[in-house]
Amino acid sequence: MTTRKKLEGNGLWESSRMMLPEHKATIIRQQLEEGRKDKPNLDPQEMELIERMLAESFHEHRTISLQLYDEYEDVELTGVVTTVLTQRREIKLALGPGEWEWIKIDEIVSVR
Amino acid sequence: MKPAKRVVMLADCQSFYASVEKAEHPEYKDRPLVVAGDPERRSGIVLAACPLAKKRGITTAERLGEALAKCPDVVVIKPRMQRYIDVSMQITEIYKSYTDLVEPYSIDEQFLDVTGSLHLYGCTPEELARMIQDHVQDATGVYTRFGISETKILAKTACDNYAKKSASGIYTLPKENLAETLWKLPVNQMFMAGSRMTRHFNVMGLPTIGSVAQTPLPKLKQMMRRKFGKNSDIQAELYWRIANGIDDSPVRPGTHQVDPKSVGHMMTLPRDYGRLEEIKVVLLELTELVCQRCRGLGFMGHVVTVGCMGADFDRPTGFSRQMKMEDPSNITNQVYRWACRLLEKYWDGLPIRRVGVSLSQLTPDTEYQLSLFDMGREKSMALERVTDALKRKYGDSIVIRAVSKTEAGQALDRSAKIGGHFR
Repeated sequence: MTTRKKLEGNGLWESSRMMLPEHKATIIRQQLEEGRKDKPNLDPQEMELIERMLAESFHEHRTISLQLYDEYEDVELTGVVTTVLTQRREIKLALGPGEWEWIKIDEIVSVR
Repeated sequence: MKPAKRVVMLADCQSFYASVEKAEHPEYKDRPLVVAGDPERRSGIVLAACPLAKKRGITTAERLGEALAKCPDVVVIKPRMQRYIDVSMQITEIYKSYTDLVEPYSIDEQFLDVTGSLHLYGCTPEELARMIQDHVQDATGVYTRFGISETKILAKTACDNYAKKSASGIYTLPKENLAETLWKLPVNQMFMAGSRMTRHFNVMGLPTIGSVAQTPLPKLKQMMRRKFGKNSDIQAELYWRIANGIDDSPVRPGTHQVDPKSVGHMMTLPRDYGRLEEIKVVLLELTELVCQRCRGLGFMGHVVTVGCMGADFDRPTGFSRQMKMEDPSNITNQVYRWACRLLEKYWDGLPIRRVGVSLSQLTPDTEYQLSLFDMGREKSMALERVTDALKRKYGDSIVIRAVSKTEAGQALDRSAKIGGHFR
């Protein structure tokens, strides 16, 4: 059966190519390595902004999205800050009812 | 402002495996050379022949014996698949130094979109292609041919139908000139038109690519519906677009990262298998590979497909059937049970030449349905986690099933190969 997908996006080429699984795996691995990055050094102003947003979320129960650093692909988490541990520089982000995560403030790259 | 036309290239490596071997064996530079599979098994065919060997009448995919009869002094080399993958990746890297938009289409063909980087070189697309061609030749000894146009389909067509035959190995096929070029070619030269489709087109009174292109799409749909039923509209549109060079697909470097739609393995047997127990051994081995790959990717499959091809070429027999399991799974024994059911139900008892197993309707394996009846699941999962880890570390042959040691077993042989040929 030919489906509509062949006429859309890259469908024609994705459905007709001949790739050895080993070749494909090598390509994917390499692209992953290429995307590897160091942790960015944040500008003091950006850090201030992040901390202010966290504080706002904590006080006003505002939902925020955090971008967390990862060597390969940044992780995005959305929720409300419920606890702030200034000593350990950690926050507790409530993601949903009964779901939360502890996050190191130094891991945060940006906040929206 | 009207966006500028894209400049897309399809770069193809001439006699890729043979060229890699010639570059690494300079002593055979002036001798005809072929890369051929294991003559003991049915993979003993010519996988690639160098231009000198082709001049002596050797063609790709013919039996090694026939090739030797035509040209007794031909140098025969065992394939080294891993090496070819490495060289292919090296060539990708070279292309990537000219544009970041590089999409491998097969081991020896890759698309390049140079629209955005052409101005950096201040030259025409042909001159840039020449530069890349020289670069690849110097670095790897492989001769590349370039089809150039504004869409992927035209670049591919330009390469297959013109660049490969031109002295420079570079050919530009402008969309405006299709009427004088591509449209004059017989329909069997069209991309995706196999022998069967060619026959159908000829019967429909469409002997050239131009005649397909110039049939209005609604009419072509109607003509194809009469032949293939009402589900052929998309096929009609596909061929019509190909003939007209219409293709808006992007050159997508990340194209290989999409989640697979199905995971399957298939193998041609070293001899025809005629007994159910024999076929079951290979079926289990293939199921193991499929499930192992699924587990590695983090997927479970819901639908099992088993395919068998009969041994007699002249009287094609065999089947390809699928079945939906109760629950999605990637546990070898579970999937194997269903695969066996399919085999037992649809196999006609005639000798089999090729067997394939695949899993589709994939879902992430992070959550699964607890079953009241299948108590062994947790245990099997734990066991397979261990065997998978062992195989990743020491290779697939480190743990095998006892049946693989029987005469019908192929797991050991297969673990030493890539795509059915030596690593």
